[in-house]
Amino acid sequence: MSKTFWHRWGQLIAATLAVLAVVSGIAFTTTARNAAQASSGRIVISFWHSMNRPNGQLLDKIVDNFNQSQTKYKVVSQYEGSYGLAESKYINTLHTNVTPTIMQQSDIPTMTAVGDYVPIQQFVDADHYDLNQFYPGILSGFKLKGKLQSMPFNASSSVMYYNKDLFKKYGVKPLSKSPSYSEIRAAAKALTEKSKGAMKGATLQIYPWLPEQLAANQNAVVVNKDNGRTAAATSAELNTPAMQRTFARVQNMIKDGSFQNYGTGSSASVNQMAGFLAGKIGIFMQSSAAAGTIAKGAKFKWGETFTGSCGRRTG
Amino acid sequence: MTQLKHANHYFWLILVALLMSAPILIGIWASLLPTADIAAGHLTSTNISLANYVAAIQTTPVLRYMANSFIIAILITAGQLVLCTLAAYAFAFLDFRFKKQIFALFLITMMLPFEAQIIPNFQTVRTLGWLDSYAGLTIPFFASAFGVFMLRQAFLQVPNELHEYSQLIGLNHLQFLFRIVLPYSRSTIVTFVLYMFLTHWNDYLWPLITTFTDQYRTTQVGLKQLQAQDTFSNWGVIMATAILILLPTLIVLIIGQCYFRKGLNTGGLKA
Amino acid sequence: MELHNTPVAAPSTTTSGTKGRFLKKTNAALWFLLPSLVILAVFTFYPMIMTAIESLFSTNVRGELAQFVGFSNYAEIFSDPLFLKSLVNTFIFVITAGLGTIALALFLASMVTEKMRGSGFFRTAFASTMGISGAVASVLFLFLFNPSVGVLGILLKDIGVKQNNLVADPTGAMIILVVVSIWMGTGFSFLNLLGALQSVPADYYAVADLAGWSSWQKTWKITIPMVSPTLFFLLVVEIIGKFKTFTEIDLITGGGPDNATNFIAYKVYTDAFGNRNFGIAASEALVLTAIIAFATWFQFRFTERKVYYK
Repeated sequence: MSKTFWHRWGQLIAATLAVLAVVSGIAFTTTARNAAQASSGRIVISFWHSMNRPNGQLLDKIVDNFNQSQTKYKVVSQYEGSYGLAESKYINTLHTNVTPTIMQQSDIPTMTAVGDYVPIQQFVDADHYDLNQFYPGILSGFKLKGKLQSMPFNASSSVMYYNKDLFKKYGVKPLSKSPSYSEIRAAAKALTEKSKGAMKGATLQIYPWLPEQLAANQNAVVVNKDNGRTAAATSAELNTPAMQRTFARVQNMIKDGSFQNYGTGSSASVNQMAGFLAGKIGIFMQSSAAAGTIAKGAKFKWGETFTGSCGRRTG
Repeated sequence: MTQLKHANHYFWLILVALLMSAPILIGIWASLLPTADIAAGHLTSTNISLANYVAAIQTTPVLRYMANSFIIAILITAGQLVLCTLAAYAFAFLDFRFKKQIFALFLITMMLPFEAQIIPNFQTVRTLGWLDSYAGLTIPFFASAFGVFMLRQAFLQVPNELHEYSQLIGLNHLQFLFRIVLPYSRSTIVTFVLYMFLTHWNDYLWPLITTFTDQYRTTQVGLKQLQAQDTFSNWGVIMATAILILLPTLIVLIIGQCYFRKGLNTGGLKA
Repeated sequence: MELHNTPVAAPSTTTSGTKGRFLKKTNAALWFLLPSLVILAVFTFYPMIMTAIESLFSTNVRGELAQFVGFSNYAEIFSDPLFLKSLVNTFIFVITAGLGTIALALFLASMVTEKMRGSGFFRTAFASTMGISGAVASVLFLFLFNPSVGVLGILLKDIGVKQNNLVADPTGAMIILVVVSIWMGTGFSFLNLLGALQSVPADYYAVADLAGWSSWQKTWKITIPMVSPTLFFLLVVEIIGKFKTFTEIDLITGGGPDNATNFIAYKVYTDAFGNRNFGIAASEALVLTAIIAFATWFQFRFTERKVYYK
């Protein structure tokens, strides 16, 4: 069998392999040419970011516009997954051939702990760049000892998203613009009970930024030395009344049975978003940046509220 | 009566065959439909066109991904062919000290899952400066115990008379290998080549952790990249990309069908 | 990839005397083996040893080894409810998907064992999922199960399944992964079982017919016992393969929801490359290695015996 088969198919296989070899040969030369083009004349600036979907497309447009605006530099942007994944990639590849020139990152504490970056203040000073265009409140979030560490690019505000249709369906009063904690708890409980367990009222992703925001709304810090801004922090201040209140509130909702736990890790936020878009979750807290994805993916009416007073009031 | 039984049997056969190939058939069908129709749930739409394929090629780096996968699959296959042939030759035709022990060493590697080696391997490749490069994507896979066993098994089928004859006429090792052993085992070699190509065309975990730019991303992780960037829209383009990536697999499977079935009887393959 | 049937029991090389003379210099073997040995040493043995070492260390924020901690990483993972949940769910997945694959493959193979018009076509159709990548399969099934645009998603909604977005539901996500895994694995098992079924002597069935056995009796008393070695072999191979499931998890569920599908191979990856907890990830990797090494050893033993009986 093998002999006849070889006679019949051998040439075809050989030809296929030859074609493949030629294709890869071409691909090799294209790569070489691309690299050469990129390096000839233009300085390549690699840029890692974590913006996908509508935000990512907008960012690509900004990058394209910049590349077309001049001929000296070429920014090559790369989506590297969530902030957490991108940060891991960055730290895992420090000082290697793939280290990016610029990186978008939300986790300033970890980045400063790892070091190995140039504070943006140096460039601001050199260029006499006018920082007055930014809100001082936002700027201060990116400063360490008065020096700007990174450029405020997409400063996130923590907001609360809720599914208006589900509220209406189960006859729950919509959230106010700045809901109190007790209001949220009651709504979550009502949603869970009236849906007979088909959905959960609320969730809070296990993601440090969220409790940090909730504590900050109560004027509390998470590490000493004013959250490490006046000097390098020497101790964590997680066990504060503000933080205890925050988690006691989560605990209350877990006791109510109205809380959905999406776990930790890189998939938690994706699952949370999928759950919300599927109408499995009534209320969740997330960055204002998620609004684009929700606007595109939600097949229901949804609302957005401040998280402000839900932190401050006791419940 | 028997005719009825036959018809019944064929009915079930066709039904099951349709069910088994449904994911692919529906995928192909969806790749031909406009995204707007898919999003509206109109899978019975007749607006078929190749527009999604054009869009996939023009707006996504899918061709780049495919070129990368061709390159790494071919480089790994070639590398393995050389290295595994040499090792298999030694195990089949040479006598040397510690042969059993070295053979056992090869055997042991089959018990060690690659998934458990990724951390140090990543660190090694990083130290070598091979992240995001063809070298890093291919060289770690240049040797495999599986390939050595498969080829050794084939080489052992070379009749002893041929072996003795080549000694008689004074062929050296490489001459014996190229003039007699390889032509004699060509059916296994073809199976080996097709199988290795397929396996590494489908590589996922390693490219996922060692590629950082579209310049080196391979098809399978490219698919994830496209999906992550664009989950909630553009089903048409994503399906077209998936089908494009599937095509070489199907071609290899069609060419290799008989070889694979034969491989099951002799060497044993597992994708 | 797995090995079938070959190495252990293969007849050892025939004579050594003539070959010894043929080989003037025995260290020729060294040159033939060296390239493979170097690659295996650098990319298989060294990383395996390093994984074992790293499992005894804690890591710093940069993921570098920071401090020797003995076996406390192991103590930590085995008291971590998430890891235990991961182990339990991995086993549930591996066993369901493994048995499902074999059962479906056996069913398909038994349908086309007899030579009949068009059986070649059906055999090709049934084997066609062999070699399809996890990534492509994931995208195809993500589409099928999509609650608003996918055929199965819409079907689930129409038959009144409330939780029709399976990916967002812990049990649903597990079901999708099992279905994809069965679909992908069937081709290979099918081809193997087809071979085994075809080698059952036709006389047995003829005698059974004379004795007036029902087809059910024939299946249980002749077919199953005759193909049981192949069934057993395939079960082990499938189980090993499914323990390594990664791509489908990464693309379909991302380990969720609520870690329901965070199987062990995936957890190794997320702990190492997502959370930079290399010490923990390394100890989880060694647990995975232990499981797979045991299963492989089992398979080798079995294969040896099977060939022996032949």
